[in-house]
Amino acid sequence: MMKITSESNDKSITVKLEGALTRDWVKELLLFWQESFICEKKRYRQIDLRNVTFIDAEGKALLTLLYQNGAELLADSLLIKAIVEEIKLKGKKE
Amino acid sequence: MNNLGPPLQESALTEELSRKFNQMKLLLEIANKITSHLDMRELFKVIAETIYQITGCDAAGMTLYDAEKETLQAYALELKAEFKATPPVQEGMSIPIDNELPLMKVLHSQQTVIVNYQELKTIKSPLIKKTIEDGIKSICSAPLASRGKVLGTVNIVSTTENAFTQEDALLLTQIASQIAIALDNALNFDRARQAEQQVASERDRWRLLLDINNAVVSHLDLKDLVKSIGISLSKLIPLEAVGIALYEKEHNHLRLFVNNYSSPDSKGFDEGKTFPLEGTPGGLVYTSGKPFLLKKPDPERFPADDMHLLPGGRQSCCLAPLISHGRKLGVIGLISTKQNAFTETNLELLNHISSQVAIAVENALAYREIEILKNKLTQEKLYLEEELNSSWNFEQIIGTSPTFKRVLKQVETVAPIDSTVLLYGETGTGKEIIARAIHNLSTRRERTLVKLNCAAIPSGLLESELFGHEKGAFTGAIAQRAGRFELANKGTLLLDEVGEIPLELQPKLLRVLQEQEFERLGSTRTQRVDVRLVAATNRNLAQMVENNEFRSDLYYRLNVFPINIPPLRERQEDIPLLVSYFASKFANRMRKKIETISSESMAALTKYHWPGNIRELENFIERAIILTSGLELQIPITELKPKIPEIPLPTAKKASTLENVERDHILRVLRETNWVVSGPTGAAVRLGMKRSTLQSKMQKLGITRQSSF
Repeated sequence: MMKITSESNDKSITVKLEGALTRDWVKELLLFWQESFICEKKRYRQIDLRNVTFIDAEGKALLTLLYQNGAELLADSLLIKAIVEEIKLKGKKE
Repeated sequence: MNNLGPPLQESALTEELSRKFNQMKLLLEIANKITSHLDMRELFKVIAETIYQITGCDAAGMTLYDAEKETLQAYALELKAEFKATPPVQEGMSIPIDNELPLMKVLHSQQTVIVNYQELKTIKSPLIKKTIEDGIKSICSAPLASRGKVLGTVNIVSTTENAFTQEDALLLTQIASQIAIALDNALNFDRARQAEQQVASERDRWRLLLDINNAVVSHLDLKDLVKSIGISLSKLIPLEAVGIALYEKEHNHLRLFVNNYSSPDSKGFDEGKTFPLEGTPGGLVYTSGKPFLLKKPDPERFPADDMHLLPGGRQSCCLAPLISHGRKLGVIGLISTKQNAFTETNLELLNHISSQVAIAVENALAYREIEILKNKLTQEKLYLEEELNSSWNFEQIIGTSPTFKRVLKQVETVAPIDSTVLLYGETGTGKEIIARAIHNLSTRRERTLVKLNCAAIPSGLLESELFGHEKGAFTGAIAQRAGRFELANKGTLLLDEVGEIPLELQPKLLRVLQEQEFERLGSTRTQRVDVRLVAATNRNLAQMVENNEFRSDLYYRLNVFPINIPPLRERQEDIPLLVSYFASKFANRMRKKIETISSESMAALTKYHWPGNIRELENFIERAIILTSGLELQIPITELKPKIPEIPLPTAKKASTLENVERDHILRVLRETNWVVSGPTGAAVRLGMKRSTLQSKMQKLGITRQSSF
């Protein structure tokens, strides 16, 4: 299960994820992003992963895509930090 | 005189011939009229005019006789305009069978009869007496006979004495025989039409029953079933809605379960409306077990019935009880917004199909219950599978130390009572095992023990985990989900790390504990549950209450029966038992044979202070079993040196330099953030860690607000 919330101001948008980013919730995040921020280019975009407990392969693929499109990923736990590092590395290579 | 004789005879003959000719002409007219009229009453009205002319009578009538039922009916009655008296019989009236009546003589003898005034006066029948009072003095009756069967009589009456001659009688007989043929044809036509209508009606009825049967076997959902029944019934009955109300035993009322209005413009009462058994048509049908037809609203008889009050509300209805296997389930009703919309035949038909509908309703209710139980079982199975994969699986509680025995005694005392239990204990002391023991010794042991570690769930998801959510309640709620309270209904819920529940969620938890009711996220429907709560924490809740980190009302509600589980270092007598248990468990799992543990190793294990408690001991023994190659358990004794110091006191100076640095850094940040731990400007964010991690570190390092001064 995962919960998606967002906060925004003039300068930035933060999408906060809580729970596990897996399977159907990956599609949910993609839809949410497309509906809310697809045309957003000016403001700083950040995805807060500090309350995420797990990310599966599909989740990693989506986060890589969002990262490549300019979203910053915020993590603090050991596991999610490692995943974010992997995403950043992959995102830069591609 | 003789001279006058022949011309007179000739004149009389001519007159007689002329009269005969007229009679023949009138009879021919009657024959023509018979061929051009199908309706017998209309025909008789036309013939009556001719009869007046021929016989000079004042009134003419026709009776119909049913030999099988032995009934005589005044079928048609025509009065001459000059005849002012009120006749003793009227059209359609049933005439009592009385053998004294001249009509009966005609029916029995099939002969035309003339009854004159003198004879009339001798008849005692009240009908004849009334006839005489009306001024009737002569009667002539002829049988309506066709194919040897008497169908009735044609009767003429006059206010004149001896008004009818034998010739009139003969003429009436001829007219009657013509009418009888026409009547026989008309009656046969009617019978054929009635038989055809009956066949069509039977066919429609069987078709409806077949449709209902098909609906019964093919619909397990009540709404679909009622919709299908409504469509079938509307082909025969002009209804606007079909409704089913089911009886609810706990409230002793009927609840409208389905109200399927055929027209989208029609307004009905919402599904879920309840009706008392007293003072409503539905209640009457349910309690009496008999069908009922309400032709229009009747507030005097049904004072509690308010279904007609709304615009477009029910004005008439047909109701039948739903009874299956002798059990009254509820009521089915055909509803109309017009008064007098239904007939007794409709009611009879509804009553006929109600037993089939009752079977379907019973099946649908059973199916619904099975679906609910199936979903609950699936959710419980998923939950238990997760638990099996993730939790320790102690088979028993191990410990004989007096300290631990005291704990077990407390468990034994509180388990059978449904009171809330609060377990205090350091991490790894076996709070969950004690909670399971409480559950297993309680009356709820047949149901599930559901666990939730409040610290392991992101705070934003905790509410959903506890209370569940409806689809679409928040972004990410892609399906309906039952919460832990629902899963634990009739069982026990263990809330581990209860001190980590955010302040804003605590009132909702308090409400469940007090009222045993809550709403899923995104739902307004209140769910009632019966859950026994066991809460566990390694934090000092009383201190948290003082620091305004935990609500006092919730704390007092949780702290009904606190149990302190001692850390392993305070029950050193139990360490050899636990070592032996874990060694045996892991050796079996790894297919190794361990027979001894050296006394030196056991002494080292016993002396060690085990900050991680039983969990640490278990993992240590597992590692030792992996490393052991012989029959004696090889313990890495060097690892049992106290690398991790005792929990430092706030003023302790003996802590390591690294810890001091860490402590000082946390204190500095806390002072800078004015001791705000969580939130975007809190110390946790600035230190790059989760709120719960920081709070755990503060506890470990003995950092409190007071200690910093």
